[in-house]
Amino acid sequence: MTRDYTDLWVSPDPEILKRLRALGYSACGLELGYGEALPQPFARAAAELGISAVVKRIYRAGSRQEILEKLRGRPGNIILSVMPLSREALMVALRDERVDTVIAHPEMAEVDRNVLEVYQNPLEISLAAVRESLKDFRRLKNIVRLCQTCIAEEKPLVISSGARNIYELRKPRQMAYLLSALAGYDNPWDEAVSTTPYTVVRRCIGFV
Amino acid sequence: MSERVLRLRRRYIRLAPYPEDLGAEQVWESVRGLFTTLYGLVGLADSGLKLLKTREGLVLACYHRWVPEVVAAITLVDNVAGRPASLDIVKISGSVRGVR
Repeated sequence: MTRDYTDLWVSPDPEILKRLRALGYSACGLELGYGEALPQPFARAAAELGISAVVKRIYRAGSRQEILEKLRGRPGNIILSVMPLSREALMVALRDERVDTVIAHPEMAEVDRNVLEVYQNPLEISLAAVRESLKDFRRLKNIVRLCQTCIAEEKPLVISSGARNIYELRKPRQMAYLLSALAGYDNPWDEAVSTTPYTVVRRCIGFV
Repeated sequence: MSERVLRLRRRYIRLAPYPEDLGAEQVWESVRGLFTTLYGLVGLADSGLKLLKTREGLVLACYHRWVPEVVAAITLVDNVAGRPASLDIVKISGSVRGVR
């Protein structure tokens, strides 16, 4: 069965779309600012290439109140991701059904057993964040620990590129292997680049 | 008394650099450098990671247990000889012939 590989976080660049198609992706999430819509030529180019492109908004939130304010009246046809700046925000973001993914970052609160109890929405780890963490051992340790915990507990995980240019994109299986290597597993964690992110995209497309 | 030495299984990884005009030695230096950063010199020795000069192009070899780690290092390479680059894995096989 052919998998639908998805990169949930890329910049809106036509060259990125072409490169995604060449690498075998069939869907992507395009990061746009608040109020920005997907440009029509871009949407047409994505349709011609056979890629399902969905708008993605990323909100940084430090408290429960901030998250709830941002979620109020959210459109159903976009991917809404929250980058939690506190433990409280992390727990709310992981639990609220209106959040599509929770952006993991090296300074994020630890995923302990209390957080695991409310963990429903996928945690999204970007290649860009992993690359940044190579410069600081403490950050790398946090990312590794996060991958190990989530995979051991079989919690939903997504790995995306966070690409701003074509050189930051990777093949889906390589991304899956990266996650497994960080967690100490032998086999590539394919769900993180296919089933889990594609479910998010399919929900947004179905909403249109 | 002689003891039988366990023969470790090798895996061969064919790479396609992007852009395509990057030199094999430069790519190898980038991969080896990042692998050593992640897993250290002992990991480098333990993995059996090496560059093969083949007609099939750029091929790396390692022991089968280290495949995820080598792939992770290849994936994290974002520049080669100061130029932005990405390394695509074309194929992984248990034989050199299999990566053609």
